[in-house]
Amino acid sequence: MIDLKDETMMPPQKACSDFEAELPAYLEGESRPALLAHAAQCEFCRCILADVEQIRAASLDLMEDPPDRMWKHIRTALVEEGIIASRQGLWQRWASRWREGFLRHPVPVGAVAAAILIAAFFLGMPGQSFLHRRSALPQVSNASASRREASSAIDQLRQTVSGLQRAFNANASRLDPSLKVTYQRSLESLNQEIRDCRRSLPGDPDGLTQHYLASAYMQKAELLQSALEYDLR
Amino acid sequence: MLSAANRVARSIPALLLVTLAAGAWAAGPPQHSQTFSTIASPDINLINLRGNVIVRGWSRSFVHADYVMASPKIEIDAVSMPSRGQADKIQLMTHLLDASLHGPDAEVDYTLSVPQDSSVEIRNPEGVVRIEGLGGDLWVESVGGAIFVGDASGHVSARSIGGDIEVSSSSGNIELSSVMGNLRLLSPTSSSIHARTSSGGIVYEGSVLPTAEYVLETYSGNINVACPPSASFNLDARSVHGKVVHLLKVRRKPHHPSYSYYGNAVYGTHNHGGAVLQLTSYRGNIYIRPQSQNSSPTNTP
Repeated sequence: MIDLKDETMMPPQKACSDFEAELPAYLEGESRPALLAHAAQCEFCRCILADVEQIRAASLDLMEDPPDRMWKHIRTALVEEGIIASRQGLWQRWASRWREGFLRHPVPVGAVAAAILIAAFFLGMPGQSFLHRRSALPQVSNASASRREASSAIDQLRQTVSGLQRAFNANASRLDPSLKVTYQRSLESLNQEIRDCRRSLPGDPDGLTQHYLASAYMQKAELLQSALEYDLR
Repeated sequence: MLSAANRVARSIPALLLVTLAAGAWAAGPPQHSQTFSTIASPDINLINLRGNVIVRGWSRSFVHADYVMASPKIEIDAVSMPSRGQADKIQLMTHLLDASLHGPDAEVDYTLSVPQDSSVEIRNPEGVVRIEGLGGDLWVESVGGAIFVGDASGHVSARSIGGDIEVSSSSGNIELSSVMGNLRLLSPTSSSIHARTSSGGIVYEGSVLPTAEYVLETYSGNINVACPPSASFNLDARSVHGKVVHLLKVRRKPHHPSYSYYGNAVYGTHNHGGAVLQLTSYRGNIYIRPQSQNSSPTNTP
């Protein structure tokens, strides 16, 4: 995963722009030796390539496409963090404002996307049929092993959410006051759900509580990410 | 001494200034309109900070946009791509010239008329979003505002963290998500509906398509489903700490051996089965009732 805590990372240069331009074709399977050569030399682009490869690998493991919205979220977040350039000029002013302001408290976008994808694989996306997801996973035949994997995915989500929460806390004062109230009330609602599910987890006979717990974490991750995206003034 | 005629003549400029200022004040906040020539099914992208957004489909290959801004310190960035000829993409973005603008001072109300096959993507953190009569895909995101979608035939994806979402008379796949908001699905003809809210309730009122899949899930809210007595579906309803109340003749099936089904559950077939109706609440109640022909929509989830 890319470590964006390093604030000394240089902004993209010309070679980096070429890298960005060639990345979609490379991910489609086309040969791009120049891209690989640049990634070998540039730490920034190497991290991006590793991040995107990891997200792609996680999505391939799902055996079904994640919703378009998730890719839009990932792309939007990458653009708004200034990690990749937008193809649309209109976004550039937005993205530059983001870089100026928010990169002081960067979000681990790749980590968020990967954690959500992994959790989605084991637990189903929020709103997705839990029972159907379970039946669609024939390779997970051992219930206790499945439970352990799900528990591990939830733990990863929890850590991701903690990171986002820290970034949110650091930036909350910059939010529009009424938006801040909505975010905080919603966070409290989800925290209550998480506490309740955690208390009930030991007596959960068939994984439903675990499913609700994962859904609450995923919603919390999306909420925090949304709050960080809207902090664009 | 000035003559009376002279006094009148000298006072005209001052009167004009006062009149113009009063006229500008009376005219209300700044308003602008723009029209873009587009293809029949363009992508429309709108990013606003606060205000009401209305989008209506029409049969013309134009996008007409009216903006009402609360302050002269706001501008609208409007881009059509390509910039000449019929655009296949229109992007509109609210831009504050004064970053200290907050609350109502930062509001922009948009009213858009767009080709009915447009795909629309809207981010509007606060304020109501209302979309009617579109055939393309819709993606709407809000923080505290309500979202209303009517007569949509494309894929509908709507998320409001704190606001309610209502989708009526729509036929495409529907995905709704909220944390505190209520979700209402009225007279849908969609074959796939996924709706999830944490503390809000969910209302579903309408028919059930034979091969459809409806997955409605809330944590602490209630789920209310009203469908015609002739509807045919497989029901899987469960509330861990709440009640499941059904007024339909559901033939119960034994639970699948791999599920223990703790809490209260109803698992069975109504009429001949077919569609999948999966309702789950952790702490709320679930009500399933027949929809009378002249019943009015349930007001509260």
